[in-house]
Amino acid sequence: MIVINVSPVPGTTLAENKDEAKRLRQKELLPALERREHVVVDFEGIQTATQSFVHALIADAVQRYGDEVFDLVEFRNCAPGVQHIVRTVFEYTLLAKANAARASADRDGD
Amino acid sequence: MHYSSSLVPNVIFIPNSATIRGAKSFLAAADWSTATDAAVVRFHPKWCHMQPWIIAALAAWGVAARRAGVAISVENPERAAYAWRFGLAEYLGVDPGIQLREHEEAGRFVPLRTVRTRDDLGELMAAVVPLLHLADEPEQARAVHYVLSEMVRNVLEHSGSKDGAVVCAQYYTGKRAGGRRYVSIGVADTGRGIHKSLLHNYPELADDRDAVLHAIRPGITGAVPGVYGTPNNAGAGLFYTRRLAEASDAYFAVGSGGAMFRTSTADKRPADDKLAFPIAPYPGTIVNVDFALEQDVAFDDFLALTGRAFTQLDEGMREKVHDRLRFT
Repeated sequence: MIVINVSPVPGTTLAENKDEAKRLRQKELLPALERREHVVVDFEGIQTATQSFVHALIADAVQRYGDEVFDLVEFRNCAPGVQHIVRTVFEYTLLAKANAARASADRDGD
Repeated sequence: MHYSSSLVPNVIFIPNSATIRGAKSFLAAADWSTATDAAVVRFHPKWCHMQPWIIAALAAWGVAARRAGVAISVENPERAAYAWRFGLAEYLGVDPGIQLREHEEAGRFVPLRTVRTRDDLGELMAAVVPLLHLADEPEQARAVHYVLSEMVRNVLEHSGSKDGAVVCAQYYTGKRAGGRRYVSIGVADTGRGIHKSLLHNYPELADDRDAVLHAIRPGITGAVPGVYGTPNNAGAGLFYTRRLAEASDAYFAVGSGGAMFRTSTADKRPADDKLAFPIAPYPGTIVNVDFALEQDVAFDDFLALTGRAFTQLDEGMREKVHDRLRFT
């Protein structure tokens, strides 16, 4: 298991640094999922995460691994606002993935 | 109309009420061209009430114009004390010739600040709460942080501006605010503008009006388009910000090049394409976000409701996500 600690902007309770989100995604989250390792994403000390930040952190993982991410990734210490944003990013990414699969199936059927 | 003669300077007239509500008329006549030798910022001779967005727009333009060799002068500077207090003189490279206190203790505003890097943005985030005196209002501080982050990051990631984003903000209360407390945030840049930013991925966009209307749709991003955006972008920043303004019947506006989109505060809101209007070409992008500090819903609930509006997911799929996500 690995733990990814999300840090707020110093002096705030906000997670918004997309460059850091991208780094965590590329260096920690995706390699761990590639190994099918359990990942804890810890939002301790954060009251708000921008949708852009959460998207940059997890959307690519959801896009690549789909439902597997539910089993492999756990979100720890999420304030209510952070939970809402995480849910939203999962929702639209899974919806887009489902739509893409449907479109692909339609093309194959033609 | 654009002038290129040193004998006839460009004129940017700032009326006595330079508000986003009145933007349509005075922005139509402002000459922001930097292809000239001289420009005059002419403040209304009696008084000037300016909101942060126009101060940010003037500041960003001033930096670009001076780099292009434009000599900027001001008329009626004594009517613009508010803007000088924000630090506009430094951006325009002028001496207004009046004495000011730069930041009064009781003042609740964020003076002009240039954000070029993520470190600059972090410093802005840390500074904004004490400057707006929101330390005892964490919920409101979170909303301000959210908007600033999304708007400034748009500039840093998509505008290609040499000068980054120019930002300022004001906390309003009392009569000026219609009995409410609200925050007004202005962000401006002199980058490539929304049309050029989107054109690579959306070549069907004919002009600036098409582009600003396109940019406010959910899921539009200047990065390479995909089914869910890209690993780095989903195109939701403007959507969330607009909804925050609309939730308190306040204005959200984005102007770029020759067009501006501005939300309506009418009870029956017109369709988006009725809310775009022409402006004299601005050499970049201007954003205005106003929102009340007392909202009908808590900020966390706002995030939940806006997320639902963005995804438009059916209940079955939403419940599946809700049930399977592991929050511990």
